[in-house]
Amino acid sequence: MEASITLKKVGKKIDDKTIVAGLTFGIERGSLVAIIGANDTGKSTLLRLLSGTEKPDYGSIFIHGLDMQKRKRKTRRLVGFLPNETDLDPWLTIEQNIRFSALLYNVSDHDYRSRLQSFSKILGIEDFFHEISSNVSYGIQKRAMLVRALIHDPEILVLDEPTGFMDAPSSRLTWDLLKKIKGEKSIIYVSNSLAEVEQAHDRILVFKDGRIIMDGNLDKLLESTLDYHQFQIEFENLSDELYKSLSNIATVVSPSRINNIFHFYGRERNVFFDIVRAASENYMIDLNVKKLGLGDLMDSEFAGGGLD
Amino acid sequence: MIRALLLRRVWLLGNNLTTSIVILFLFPLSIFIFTNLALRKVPSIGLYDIEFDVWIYPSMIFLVTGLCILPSIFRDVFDLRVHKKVLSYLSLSPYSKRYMILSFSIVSVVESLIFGLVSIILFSTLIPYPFGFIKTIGFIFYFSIYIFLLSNVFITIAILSDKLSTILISVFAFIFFLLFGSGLIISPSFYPSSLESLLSVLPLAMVIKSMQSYLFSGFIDWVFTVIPLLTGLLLLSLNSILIRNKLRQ
Repeated sequence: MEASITLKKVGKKIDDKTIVAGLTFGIERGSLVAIIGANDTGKSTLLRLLSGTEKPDYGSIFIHGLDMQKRKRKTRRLVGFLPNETDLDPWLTIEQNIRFSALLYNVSDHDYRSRLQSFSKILGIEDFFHEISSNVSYGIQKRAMLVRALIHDPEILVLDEPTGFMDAPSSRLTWDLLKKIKGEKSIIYVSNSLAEVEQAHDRILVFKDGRIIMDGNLDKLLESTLDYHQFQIEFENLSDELYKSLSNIATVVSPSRINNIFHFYGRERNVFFDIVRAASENYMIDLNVKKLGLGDLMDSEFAGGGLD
Repeated sequence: MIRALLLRRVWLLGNNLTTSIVILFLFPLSIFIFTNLALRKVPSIGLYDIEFDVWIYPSMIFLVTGLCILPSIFRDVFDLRVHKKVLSYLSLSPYSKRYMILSFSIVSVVESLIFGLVSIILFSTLIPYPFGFIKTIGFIFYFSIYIFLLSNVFITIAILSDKLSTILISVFAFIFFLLFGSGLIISPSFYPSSLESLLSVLPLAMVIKSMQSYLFSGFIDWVFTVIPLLTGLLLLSLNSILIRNKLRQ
């Protein structure tokens, strides 16, 4: 499949800190790509580079084969950007904000009207067109910003927290729209809502310290967790001695405690019986076992403990 | 982009219609009261041997319009930039930074022309309009150079300032220069000779002197006309580099 976005050794530093460290990867046309990772790992900076809001310190970004730095005017028409923070003009109405963007991109009146009507209907913001943008909630502003990003019909959408500030129904409406346009447009987004990413993904990039540490679809990423399970056992009294002896069991991975709750990962459910044997003289109140998901994969302590 | 920015100014005025109308009439009136009515009683040396009302007339228009572009530039280039609104999004549109700054300047010129026209209508109810058709054309020509230069000076200040206190002090200092050092109200010849020679070579003072020379004596000082225009173009280029660096693009 043809590449929509290609990064070649792209890096960004702010002061002396490396925010994005020599990234090289490509995104296929029409795909939906999620970028996840802990806070302050460079996800939003990467989106700002992809949208053209900032330029890389080194390396090149190609949009449909065009170098973003050398062919700015052409590539900017191909990208629609939704920043994380609301950046609408606070003194204009919602409709005026969107119209302003359409004028900037020379969108014809007919196209403007039809796109405005179509996207606004899906996102449910028609009733707020004549409200001054600073007078409506952030969730509505964010939906209006999404319409604004789409109004010039870009082929690539770069979205920073597309459902940020939104309640559950608004998030659903937003995802309805994104799923509708997926395939027609390449969508790359950052989200801290792992449940959303698990549901909507095509491809997931896991970001850490400005680098991609994992890349693939959900199943592929979870393959790396092998048969790991997450265990949580609540004791009546989890003494330091008991915690130490349980932590030293060879099959226990990344143990931790919160008061009397012993938390750890193990490759098979059998690990539980090793614990039961070691703690047979202690009273257990509750037990919880679950298979690992994206959230556990992102758990730094678990990752720190090391996967096979 | 120019059309988009112009329409946005219309929407902004429309969204704050009452305030806009009050300012549109009160501001020129206050300039008239504090420059014309008060200063006519201060003994002054007439450079061109003409009536005070005639001499002060273009200065009043220059003052009203020069100051009226300040809020929109302050809002667009400083306020919305430091609060991470609009300007960053605007910079993603498919235009160069130079064209973006030029658009801001042209919108300022158009907006100030309208403001100037309203002021002329308002003033005509108080004092007669002193210029014929040809001189009015010349007046608009100098007026455009003046606003183009001034808007770029304001844009430079707005880009370079990151804090409210910085921009306020800078703008106040600049307004003081505009009022007392540019030759709009007080001729540089009132200052000590060393200061006079310094003030007279400032591009803003040049365009004002050139405008007065044309309107009051019919003489076109091409040097003092071209230098401010070139300075405005130079500032335009400088501003486009500054905004690119500020936005890290």
